[in-house]
Amino acid sequence: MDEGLRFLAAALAVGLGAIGTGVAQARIGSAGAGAVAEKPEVMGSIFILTALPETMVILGFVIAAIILFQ
Amino acid sequence: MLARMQRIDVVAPRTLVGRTMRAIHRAGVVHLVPFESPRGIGPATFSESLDEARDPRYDAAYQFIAELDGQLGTAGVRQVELLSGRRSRERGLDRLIATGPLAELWELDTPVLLDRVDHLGPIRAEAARLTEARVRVHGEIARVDSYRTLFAGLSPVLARLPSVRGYGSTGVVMDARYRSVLGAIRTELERMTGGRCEVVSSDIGLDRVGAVLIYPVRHAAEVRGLLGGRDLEEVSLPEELVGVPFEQLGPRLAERRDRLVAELHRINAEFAVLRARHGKEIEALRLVLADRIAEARALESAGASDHLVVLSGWVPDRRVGELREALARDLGTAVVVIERGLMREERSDAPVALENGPLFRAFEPLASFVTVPRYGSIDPTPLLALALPAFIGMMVGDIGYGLVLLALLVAVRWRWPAVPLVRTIWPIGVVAAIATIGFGFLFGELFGDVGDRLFGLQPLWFDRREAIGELLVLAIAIGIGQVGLGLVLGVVNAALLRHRRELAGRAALLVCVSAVFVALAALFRFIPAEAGVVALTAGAIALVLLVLAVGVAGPIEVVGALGNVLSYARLMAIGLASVMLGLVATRLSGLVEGALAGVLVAGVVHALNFALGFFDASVQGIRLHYVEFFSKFVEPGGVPYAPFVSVLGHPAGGVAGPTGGT
Repeated sequence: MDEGLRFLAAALAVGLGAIGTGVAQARIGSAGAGAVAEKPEVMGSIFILTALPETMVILGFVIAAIILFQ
Repeated sequence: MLARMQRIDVVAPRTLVGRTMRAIHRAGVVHLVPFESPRGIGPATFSESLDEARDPRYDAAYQFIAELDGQLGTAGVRQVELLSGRRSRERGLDRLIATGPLAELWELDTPVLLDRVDHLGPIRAEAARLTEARVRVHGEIARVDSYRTLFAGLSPVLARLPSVRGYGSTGVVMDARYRSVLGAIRTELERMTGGRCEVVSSDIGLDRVGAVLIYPVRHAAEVRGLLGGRDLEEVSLPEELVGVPFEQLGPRLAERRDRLVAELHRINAEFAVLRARHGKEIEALRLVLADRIAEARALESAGASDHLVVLSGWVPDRRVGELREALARDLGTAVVVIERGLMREERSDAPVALENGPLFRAFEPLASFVTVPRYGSIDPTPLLALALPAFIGMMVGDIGYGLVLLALLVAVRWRWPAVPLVRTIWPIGVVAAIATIGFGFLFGELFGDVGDRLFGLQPLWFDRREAIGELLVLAIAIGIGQVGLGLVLGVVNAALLRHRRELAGRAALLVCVSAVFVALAALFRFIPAEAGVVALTAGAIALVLLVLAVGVAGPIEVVGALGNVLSYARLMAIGLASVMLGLVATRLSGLVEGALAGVLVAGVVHALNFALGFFDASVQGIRLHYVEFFSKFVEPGGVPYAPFVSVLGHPAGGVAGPTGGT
């Protein structure tokens, strides 16, 4: 039972982080695509903004790794 | 590194203003800026107009050539066909001598150059005649095609109509929603012709209705008047086909179209002959005239007195001598270059030129992709060049994938050696491939576990499939190293730029973050507990300083820096995903019956893993640098060094700047 809960916790840590990242990147990506179409010179800034939410899923992954390998 | 820049003024007699500007343009090393009077000289002294240096004839000549260029389509002439170059060494300086038709035109005086443009008058007339003919033929073809479409739609009905001499026809096409208009047209037509008419209509496609109005030819003008203003698409027959019986109309229209297409080919052939004879000259004239106009515009930022002209700008320190040489060669001692010296308040205006060795130079566009570092700060290019390939190699970490990437790069380089994108990617890709092969040996991976199965390949360091915890620790350790280095460089940058407040804030942030890690190390008993207490005390003091220097955002920056470190876990996560997908390839191939099918399945999955692996590793590696590393020390807002380069020295012309350009 405990083992199962551990796996569930690890999966939730990564899964919820991934959902959050996906939602954020979808919004930033669509807005960013519009911005780049109008002003190509903002490409670099949009790249950064699109990449920022990835930290959520990475942090979730770190938590999952700690849960699984402790 | 960032090139050291010199603020210079080129002072010339007014009588030599044109030649001086040409010499500066040819030298291609000065980043021009608007003139500002030096201290002690009032702004009125150098506020005279330079109208005599601007020749309005260039604009008209450029317009003429640009239109001719557009008509003949000579913009496709590659500059490499117009310009070549050879190197010459004079007085210890490497100089590039431009040759070819473009270089010859570039050196011509204004009257001779404009005379060359005037000589193209007959060519322009011929091009205009051909353009007019081409437009006419295109229009005719469109008209015939429209009638053929209409005719095809109505042919079942038209075939049953008797052909009557002296009768003409007009086709109309309209939106299906307005088909009721046809009834009104029929009524009007019957009134007009006394009932000697016919209107045949049929649906053409889903939403359009076509109709042919048949009436005595003598009523043609009245019919045109009837249709005018009704927003109908009138499809009239070509003159020569008016009155032709309907059963003969189809073949006659096809014949007419064939003749028009043949005429179009003849016109295009005449265009091609004109292009072959005069294309290079026209394109070269366009480029030279564009340069002359650019020179006239650049003079708008010059300072001028009654007798002198001063052109201000920035030049990389090591190229000031080159500029002096160029001006002396063209103008003797009449023109002087004055080095103003770099005032402290001018440092923020200085343009930034990146000057790195051949290997690091390939990474310069990547390093300045988001922002150009401010003048006087640290150039992040070498750090990116060292770490990015290593990150990619660590994430992919497979000898086989590295070798495949290397082979692909060699093939692409061999096939498209001159494509700029290939030349940019080549060195970065090669270094990343070598790093991938190196890490492949360290992790003992050759197409996943194929190396182990076939050759007994063993890891030199550790097996990523089993040492997941160690891999995570390694990734975080790299994060601590790189973020820590970024924080240290941030302190150095603030000191270099003499930003005292930022210096205090960054130093405090560095101490805070270091204190957290030392305290954690003490907590897990890697170091004595006393060290942790000292670190926490120092961290608390630094936190107060940080709040004083940065405000309430200071503590958030500490948390952000810790998050940045954890973000490096992606090095492990992407790597683990890559190695697992490699294993999946091997397992799947084992499930399929037949050796060939197994190899095919493995090949497809490995190809997918290869593409995903390198793409993802590159994006994530770049992201780690931009977001986690550069944000700690790169001072944004630098102005890129953009020298006033003529077409002779432009890289697109196949001839780089005199010493390789920037």
